[in-house]
Amino acid sequence: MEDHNRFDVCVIGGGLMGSAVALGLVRSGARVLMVDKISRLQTASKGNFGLVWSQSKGSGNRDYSRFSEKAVLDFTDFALWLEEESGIDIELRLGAGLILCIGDRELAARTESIKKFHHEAELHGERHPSIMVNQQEVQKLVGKTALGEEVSGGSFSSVDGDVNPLLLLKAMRRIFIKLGGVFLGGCLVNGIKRRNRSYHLETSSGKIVAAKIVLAAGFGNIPLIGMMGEKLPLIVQKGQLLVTERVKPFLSLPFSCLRQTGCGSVIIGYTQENTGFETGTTVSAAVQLAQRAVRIFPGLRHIRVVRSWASLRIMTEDDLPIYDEINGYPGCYVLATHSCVTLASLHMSLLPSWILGGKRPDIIRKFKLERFNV
Amino acid sequence: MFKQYSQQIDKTVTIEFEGTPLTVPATITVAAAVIGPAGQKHTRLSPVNGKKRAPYCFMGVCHECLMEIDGIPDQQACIIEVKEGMKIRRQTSLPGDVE
Repeated sequence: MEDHNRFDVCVIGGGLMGSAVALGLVRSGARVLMVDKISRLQTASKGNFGLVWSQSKGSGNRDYSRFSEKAVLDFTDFALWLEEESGIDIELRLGAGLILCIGDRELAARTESIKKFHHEAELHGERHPSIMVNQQEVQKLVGKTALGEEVSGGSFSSVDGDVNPLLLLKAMRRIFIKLGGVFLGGCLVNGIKRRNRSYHLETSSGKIVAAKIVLAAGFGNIPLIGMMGEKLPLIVQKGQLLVTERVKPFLSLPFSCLRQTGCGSVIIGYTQENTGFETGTTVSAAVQLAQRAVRIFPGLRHIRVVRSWASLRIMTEDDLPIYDEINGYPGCYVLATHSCVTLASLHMSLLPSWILGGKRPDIIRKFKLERFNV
Repeated sequence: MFKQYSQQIDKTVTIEFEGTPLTVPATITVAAAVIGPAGQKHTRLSPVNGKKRAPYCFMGVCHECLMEIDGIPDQQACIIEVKEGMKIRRQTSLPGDVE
């Protein structure tokens, strides 16, 4: 580490958040070190569902709804650039995404929700890119694969889609290194001190000095921010999903609860559980997920599940992100949110200039820590 | 590409690969038997593009090695040991299309 012990920025956390921000920073010409510890639990960056999604995000909060939409709209160019620079096809499909409903009650609730999104967008003279579709229209979108009789319709977005989240992460990390970023894996940060306008980190890999630091370590941010006497009000939510054997491509657009990956597997999601810091899978969740999948596509009853896993979503009380500079610690930024697949494009393009001393982007002005009064 | 690390074989079993009997060391995995003694280069065909696929991680993670073992599809050949009389087939078709 002798030659590399002084950086403009040290990003702590090498998942989807850290990698997107670190990549944006290094692209801006900064000398950047990204460190990543080995996680005890399955992280959201590796266990997520892989949606690039906006239609259901930010109900009651147009700022976040707009933010998600912009992230999705920016994703096409972002992915093109990633693929060009990394040589990795990240399997992005945008332009069609469906939230499917079973039965009248789900359809009524979805219709209400979409109405609310449209209303909130119109209040700002904007449009929300989603519409309700009925059972026949869903069948038309899906093509020849037969839908179950209970499928009642859903909401359709003409901008949403999906991506291979592991390849997205790999592509961002690869370009980060290609552009001169330094990556240090298996590095646990044990102490943070501010001295002479720099941050001095005690780590399992030795001392690190950086002018600025970015906490992008998911739940690992809680102990990190604790080193500065602050609290981070994150909520743990577990999501389980199922993965089937690989089958012939039969579904060209992602559903929020079911999608077919590039290699042919069907991923069936997802649960929302509040069971703390554990990532165990349960038979009851598997049964619930599989039953719903078969009610959507009866043909899935012949297809085998080959594995399942759980990972932890990083939530807040209001489900909105935290992007902030820590009080009393100039140049120390904390970033924490779920949806880091969808938001990767904006995390790379928006946050770095602010972190490097520019103006805080207007679009994230409300996503501060102070709203929690901690 | 692969070499057997020990020449000493105490015990063997006879398995069937695609209908052909094959005597292999006991205690090795199905994937090892197929790639090693059976001399095969692939264990399945991709249902997406029909391309040949073979074991990649050899440790139960990547699911590239799925084979049909004793009539049951989707078995992880790299973590299942050979057994006397075991019938192994490549996974070239699917138990059923979703459509």
